[in-house]
Amino acid sequence: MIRNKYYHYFVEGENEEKIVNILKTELQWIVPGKVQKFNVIEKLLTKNRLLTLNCGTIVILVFDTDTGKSDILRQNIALLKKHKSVKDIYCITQVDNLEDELVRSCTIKEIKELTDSDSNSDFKRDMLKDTKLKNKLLKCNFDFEKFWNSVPPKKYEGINNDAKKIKK
Amino acid sequence: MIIMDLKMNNFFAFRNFHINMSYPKKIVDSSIEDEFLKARPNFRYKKVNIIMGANATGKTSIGKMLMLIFNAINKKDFTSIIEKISDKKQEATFTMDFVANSYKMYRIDVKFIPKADSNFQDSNTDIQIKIDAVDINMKDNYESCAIKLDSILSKKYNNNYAEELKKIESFGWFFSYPMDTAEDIPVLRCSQNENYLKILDYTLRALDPSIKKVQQIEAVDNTYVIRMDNQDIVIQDGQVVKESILSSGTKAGIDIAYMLASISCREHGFYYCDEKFSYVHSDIEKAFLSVMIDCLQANDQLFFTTHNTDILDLALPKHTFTFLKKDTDDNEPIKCISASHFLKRNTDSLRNAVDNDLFSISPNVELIYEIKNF
Repeated sequence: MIRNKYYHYFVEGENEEKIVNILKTELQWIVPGKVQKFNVIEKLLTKNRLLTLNCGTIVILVFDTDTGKSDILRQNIALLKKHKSVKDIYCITQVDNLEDELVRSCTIKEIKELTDSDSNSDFKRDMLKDTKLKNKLLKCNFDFEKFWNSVPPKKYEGINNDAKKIKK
Repeated sequence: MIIMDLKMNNFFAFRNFHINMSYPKKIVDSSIEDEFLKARPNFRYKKVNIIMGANATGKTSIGKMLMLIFNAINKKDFTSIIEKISDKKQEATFTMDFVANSYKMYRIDVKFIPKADSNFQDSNTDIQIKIDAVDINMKDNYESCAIKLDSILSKKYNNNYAEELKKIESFGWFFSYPMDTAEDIPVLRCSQNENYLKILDYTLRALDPSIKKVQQIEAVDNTYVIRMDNQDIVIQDGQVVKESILSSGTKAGIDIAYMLASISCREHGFYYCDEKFSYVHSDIEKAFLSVMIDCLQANDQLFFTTHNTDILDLALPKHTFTFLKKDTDDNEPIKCISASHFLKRNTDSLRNAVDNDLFSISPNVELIYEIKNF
């Protein structure tokens, strides 16, 4: 009998939430799973959050590496390892952040080109409002092999980039 | 009555909304029998439409809009529809493709245009209507009939909607909503239906094993009594006298029994069952739904809305399931997602797809978790 697998994403913010939803639903390039916004670098996971996980869930943590902080992240990983519903934990290390990952994966020089924003600082806001983001990614020759494909900095020693495990 | 396609704009929370009830190819050994128009095997339609979605995604509003359209067609009066226009300063439209009782597919296309600086009171509204119909021939499917309707270009919109609506033959329907959302609580009359008493008896006893029997009170119209060990409870005109004695699920059973009796006796042909099982155990809901499906007859259509993801375990064709999603797209805030569009293989698990939110329809629970931090 093939057992059904459950995946659950914890992502840093709304922009990561949006990109994960595009990758899993519109492009179907990553394994599908429920997505919750929770910054695992800054905050500790709570019992009530973990209570609703299905038994046998693979938890996927998506986070930026530009802060250099890893203490709370490591505590969260330890918490998850002990939790009876969690089967495995995958880390997706964005180097240094989502914007850098996108610039690296598309044929653009600055992130504002992806959403035709006035400035780079407008990108996050414009990305959230954009209803045709998938088309814009493809128009900018989004190379999924390059996305989420970087080695995290030394401060994250011991934490691997497990993106290959969720890419289809 | 079979609805094949509905588009609406600027009603309730819907903008540029579209839902279609045809499906592309025949399913071998389907658990739903005869999912096509009788004597027109190519004219496939979704006989069972299970609609799921997070709260406030429009599951009830779709039913209410359909009910308003059906009533408008029947009574030749659009007043109630006009009240549900969302932005009163903008045009509102709906288009519906449907089959009534003969081998004709109709298309009704209505525009509500506010006059001057008015805000849609009936006398200030310009209502323009177009109704076309094409014959459904032996080899026709929905798509070929839709093309025939599209090609009727010469027809213009008409202001005389009362006259135009006479073109549509009469048809039946039955809508049932959760009791706390019904604007008017309908009086359920089932005295003509000989099965109703038995169905009511079995339904209530399934929901509450302490119920001994349900009997009809002959002397009073539309009145039944629930016999329990220490007391009797009267149901008159579908309403329970001494409500507090029965559980919420048992009270819901009265409407459920009426819906099931209607389907089994083919009273209406079109059924919209909106979250009648919110207070009912999952296994019981699954059992009732499977009986409803089994009782559907040729050319019937059932819409069934639920939050219960256990329903996904029923061995139904994937095209049976439609998910509604609300997001931040102002142009189309409520979107309709068909499971069969994403899951093509028989081995694809719909339950797993929903549990893993493949369709990105899961509700946002962030605010709930934040409450703990207050």
